[in-house]
Amino acid sequence: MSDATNPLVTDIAPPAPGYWATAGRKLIRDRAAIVSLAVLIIIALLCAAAPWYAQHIARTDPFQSNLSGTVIRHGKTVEVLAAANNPLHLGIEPIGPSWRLGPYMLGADDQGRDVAARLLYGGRNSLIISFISAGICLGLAAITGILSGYFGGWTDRIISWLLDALWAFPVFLLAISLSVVLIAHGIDIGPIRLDASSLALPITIIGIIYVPYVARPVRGLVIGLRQSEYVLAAIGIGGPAWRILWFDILPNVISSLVVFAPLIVALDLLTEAALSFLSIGVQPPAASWGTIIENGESLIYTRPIVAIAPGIAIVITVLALNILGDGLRDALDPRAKLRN
Amino acid sequence: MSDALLSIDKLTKTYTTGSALLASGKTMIRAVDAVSFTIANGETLGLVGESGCGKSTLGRCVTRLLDVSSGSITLAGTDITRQRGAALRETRAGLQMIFQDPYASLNPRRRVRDIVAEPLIVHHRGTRRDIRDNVAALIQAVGLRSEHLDRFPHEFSGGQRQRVGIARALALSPKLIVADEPVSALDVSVQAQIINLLTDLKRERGIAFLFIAHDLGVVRQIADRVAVMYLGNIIELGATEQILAAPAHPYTEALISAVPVADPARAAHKTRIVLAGDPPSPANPPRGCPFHPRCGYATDICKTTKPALEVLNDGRFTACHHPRQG
Repeated sequence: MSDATNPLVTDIAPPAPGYWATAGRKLIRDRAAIVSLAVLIIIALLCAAAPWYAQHIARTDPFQSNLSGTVIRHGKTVEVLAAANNPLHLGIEPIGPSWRLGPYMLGADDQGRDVAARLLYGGRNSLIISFISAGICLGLAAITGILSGYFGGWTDRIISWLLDALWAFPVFLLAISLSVVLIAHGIDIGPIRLDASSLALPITIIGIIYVPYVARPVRGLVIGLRQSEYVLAAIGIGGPAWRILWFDILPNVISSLVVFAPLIVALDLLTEAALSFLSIGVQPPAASWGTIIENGESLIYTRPIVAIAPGIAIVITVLALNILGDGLRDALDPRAKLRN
Repeated sequence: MSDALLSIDKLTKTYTTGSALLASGKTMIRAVDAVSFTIANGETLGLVGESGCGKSTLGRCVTRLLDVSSGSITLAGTDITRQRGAALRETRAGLQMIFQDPYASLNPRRRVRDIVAEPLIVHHRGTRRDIRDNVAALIQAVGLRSEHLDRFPHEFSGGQRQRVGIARALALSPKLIVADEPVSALDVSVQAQIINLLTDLKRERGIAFLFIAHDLGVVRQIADRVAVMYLGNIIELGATEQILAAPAHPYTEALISAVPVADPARAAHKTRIVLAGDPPSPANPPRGCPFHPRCGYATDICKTTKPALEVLNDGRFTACHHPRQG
């Protein structure tokens, strides 16, 4: 039979691009998602430049109190911390923002430290903690969800019990209890030795508490995939379980994890801020957006910018992460057609 | 029969529904009820029956995708009923499956090349170059072209996808292929192409098929023998032409009368047997013959005694107290 008369082979077109290439093209056309991604990259770059900013623009050490320092403002020498401008002269009033690139652009906090420099250093810690803990969370959730959904039986029962036990605690109660205990003493288990001030502590705590929230849907998805004909076909071929998990299960779970990722980062960022605000996250003198808000709380009437600036940073970052998450969900949905 | 490739003996698959904790709330469903049959080398056995009669469950038990409750499955002299681990994976090389839904049976994230090569890689059939050549040969054997290998399943039509599924099942040169309604999801014209392909493969490669279908017309084209299932039981089993021309069991008779006849002159003389009611629930099967509530020939014995599958004078088997033939 010649090809011209065979209806099966008349439609040779160039092979379609792969799944991820198509998703990438769809994402690029989503303006809101791309703007959010750009905002996130800019925030990350600014935070990464924190040491450079402190040295060359703020020209102060943002971790050193500067109680009696002075700074030149409008040609005059001004004290960084002045006595408060109230009838009893109670308390102190840090210098306000200059709104110009230079020392104390966003003013000083109650210890005379540069708020702008601390904001960048704090952002660095906040982002590091939220991204790494989100990675830990997604990794653990993928492993537990896939194993429990695929193997079922006792594997499923034991993993589900553990996750349910974790889930039974309100997230913040769990995080606060863990933090209070761990931050007081640090961790000292055999070769693992973590100082109380180590970032690894909040990273681990925040990374673990949200695992059930992702593992549950992953498990449900895998239980569905386990019944699908192509997984049955893979089992029927007689391949080892790891090949089926790697080639047939994982690629169909990854897209869900990718959609979850920005949302979990946002959740972790908020949790980190909340824990640090309660003094059980990042420990001084290190900063995070949460600790800066805590510092600013006592100055909320005189210098609200100290608490508001990190608050705005958190809002922008979380908003951008959520919009990016929406964009990823649309881009990875195979039913959504590529818009022209 | 000692020369049988596949021998099924009293195979039963029961499901339990209801609460796992309260024993009182449990209901046993016999999806497959003590079914026995054999398939010889190179033979095609058609397994027909309406939806929910247990024919797909039976197919999945034979390929060990479901665990069997009782009975035994013997493939080429080896009891595979309780095989596990490496032994089971080795068995699976000689026992492949073609699925009903060509849209669900291919992983949407893998290219056709990887899908067809997977069985060869898993069972270490040759070097990378051997596998590459083998895959190209397989895809041509099912009527596609090597250019199709770099594509994803969603770029194909249903019939083309089913061809990919067939190529995957052929890759390991199995002795037996269980085809679970391989054409029922396809258009009629495409059905004919796939049936022709399967018939050719059967003739050229000597593969035995357990061909599950609900369409007697399809079975007529490919099957050497036919087994008719009703409510988890085989109620009639014999040579295809014999059964289709002169059914012995009243249920088979009704099933065949439902097949449309293309010739209007003949269709006018055809009497259609319309069964009353629905098939009973397998959770609560009737006493006696499972078919008696819907059977036009039922007598008192049918209500109390379940007929055994017995051989008739003309060599076929039927489970009926009042067979129409033989």
